Amino acid sequence: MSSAFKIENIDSLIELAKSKDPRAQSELIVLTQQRLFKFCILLGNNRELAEDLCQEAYIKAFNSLARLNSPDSFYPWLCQIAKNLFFDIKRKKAEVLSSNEDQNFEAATADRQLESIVQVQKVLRTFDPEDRYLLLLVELEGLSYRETAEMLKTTEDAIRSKLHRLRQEFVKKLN
Amino acid sequence: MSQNENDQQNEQIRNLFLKVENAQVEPSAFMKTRVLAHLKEGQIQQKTVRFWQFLSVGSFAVMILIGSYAMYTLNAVKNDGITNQAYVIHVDFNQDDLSKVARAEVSLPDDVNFMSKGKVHSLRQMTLPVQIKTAGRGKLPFVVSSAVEGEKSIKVRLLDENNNLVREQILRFKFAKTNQQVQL
Repeated sequence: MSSAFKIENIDSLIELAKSKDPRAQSELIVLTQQRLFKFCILLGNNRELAEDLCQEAYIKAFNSLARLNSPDSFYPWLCQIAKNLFFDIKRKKAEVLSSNEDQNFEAATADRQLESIVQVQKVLRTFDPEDRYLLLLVELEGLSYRETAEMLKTTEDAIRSKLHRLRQEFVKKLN
Repeated sequence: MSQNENDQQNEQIRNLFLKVENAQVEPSAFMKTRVLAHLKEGQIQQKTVRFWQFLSVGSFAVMILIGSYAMYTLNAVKNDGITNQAYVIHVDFNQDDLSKVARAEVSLPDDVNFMSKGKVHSLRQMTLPVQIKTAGRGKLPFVVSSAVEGEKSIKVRLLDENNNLVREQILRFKFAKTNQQVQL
């Protein structure tokens, strides 16, 4: 899979990280953490939860890095791990998460450039987590319909049709 | 919805997500440290487990080696002597053998001969009755000599009344030309 988010020289970093090289692991975190964190904030609607998701996703990814087929899949794979972790937590602690969704992030967002995140977050929180994930893959991560369909194990037509409906809904709620 | 409205809607979403992409938001600086520390801890635990696995397998292997060596030395009794001198060899039996063993078949290598009353016999193999001591231990004495130095292996096969093999024993006997060469 070729993600829209590509990392230069990732092949050698992945190879080193597979042999548990801490400098390579550190470098991979630095290269991806900002983007993954944003993805997790929008997916989980909670800054603390997003940080936990990132942390656990990196640990899980590095511990099973040998199973990664293509270095280019590293970031989409991280997103998928974070999503699975989030869905697991949501299943186990549904009531905790819903009561905790993220007033603290909004309050802490004095910076104007973070307004967009809060705006998207407010709309996304009204969506079902599966739909939220689909929107993030396409709109934030820039995955094509084909890549998204591969990742979600469905057809391109199904993705296209679902996205059309979700976009309409998104704009309606945004306005 | 018309195509134009559809395009506008997509454009609006695209622009909003572009702003999100450009926004600078990072996890706490400690997140990376925590991940790396966790991974390092996992590696140390794995190494510790591997060390104990290695230690348990290693000690098991050492025990097997010691056991094998003990079995070998029990089966192969080492003696030493000087060439052209007669030596009486005693084969002792354990308590289990006593009830079963009736005779012993002794086979000599080429350079070793049986001796009897000061004379060398040309026989290479001899079957001897096992004498039972009153103390409860068996005794099998025979006399050998050799003109050639070096280590010799004498095979003793313990047989029961029906000539079935009870146990086999190899006696290693090292002959040297002078006393100084004899390993003690």
